[in-house]
Amino acid sequence: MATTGASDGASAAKKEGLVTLMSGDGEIFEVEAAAVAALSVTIRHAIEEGFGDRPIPLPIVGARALALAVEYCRKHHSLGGGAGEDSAAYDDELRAFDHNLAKVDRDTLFDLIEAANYLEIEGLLNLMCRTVAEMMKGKSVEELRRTFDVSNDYTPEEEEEVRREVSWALD
Amino acid sequence: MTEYFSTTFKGQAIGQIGNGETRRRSIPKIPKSTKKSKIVIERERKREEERSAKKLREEAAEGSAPVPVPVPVPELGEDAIYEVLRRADARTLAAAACVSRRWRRLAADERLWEAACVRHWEAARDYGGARLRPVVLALGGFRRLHSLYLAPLLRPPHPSPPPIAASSSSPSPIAASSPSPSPIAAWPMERAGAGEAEGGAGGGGEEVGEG
Repeated sequence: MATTGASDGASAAKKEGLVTLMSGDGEIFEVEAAAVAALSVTIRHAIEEGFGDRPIPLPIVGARALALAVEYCRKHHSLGGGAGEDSAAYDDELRAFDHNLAKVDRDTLFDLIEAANYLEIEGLLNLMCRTVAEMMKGKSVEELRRTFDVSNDYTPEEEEEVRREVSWALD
Repeated sequence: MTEYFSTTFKGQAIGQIGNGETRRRSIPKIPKSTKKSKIVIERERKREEERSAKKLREEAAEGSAPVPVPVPVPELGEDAIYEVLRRADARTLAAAACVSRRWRRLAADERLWEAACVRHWEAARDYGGARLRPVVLALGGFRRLHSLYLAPLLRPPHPSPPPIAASSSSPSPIAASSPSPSPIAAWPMERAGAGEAEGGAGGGGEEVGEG
């Protein structure tokens, strides 16, 4: 479904039931409007505001994450009708799909969290954040810094203090 | 301190740690100066990747499923970090506070500690959040509850019992109704917690049936 010209996408979007999405890096995706609108609050609002016949710009969502997010929407729309994990429609197939999606590498995970947050796809955000939270479990402070590529901007005294403050949890 | 380092470093190829402080510093962190150039390199790599990915797609010209394109990940924003921490356990929240100043500020959010505590309590299926909330906020907040009460409770062999534990024995008296104001009233209420206390108490009203 991915085409490279914005004009191609715009004209194709006039096809019944399709909506055109443009990733931050300029990729055009033509997707079923019903599927993405059912799962993504942001896209639902964009369509309601009359974006249905022109590409919806998604400036902070990269093409890789958008492709996965769209896949998530499609799958959850067709199998579960967009219902959450508590619903009966969340069956083994959907669970397996989510489980596999959560196996992506760390960078894609982070990418997907940002995408799900921006697109307001609650189920996807929940899935990815839970995965990262699980990944953080039991990690030392240094390991967390490496995982998230965060530099330590504490002075040694400050760090000593904050570590003492939470020592009840870290011991 | 030393104890912490020896536990957290286990499993890494660092071996026995005599002096945690120096060990910690010896872990290579990317200095600010090289980090800048890393960003530049990253940007160039991204452009290159985009170019080649585009080419690939044009060559593929399949029109079926979209080809996943490798795009360098942006650093997680505060919203995203918050969303992750909202699903983290208390120990992870504590470790996160040590990561950096920004993370400390994020991890200090009362709502995160509330979520972590409620998950603990809901697991026990005794107290719903609505009922627990006003009580805990009145006691000084979920973070405080966890540090003073839950954490020692969850780790029985800890030598030093928390100060409030002396007033009563199990968690039920606190949540039930006994107002023990004297030591608690002296605690400074955290601002966020104080602001939400009214709403929480009001909303929880209907839930407070005897169970």
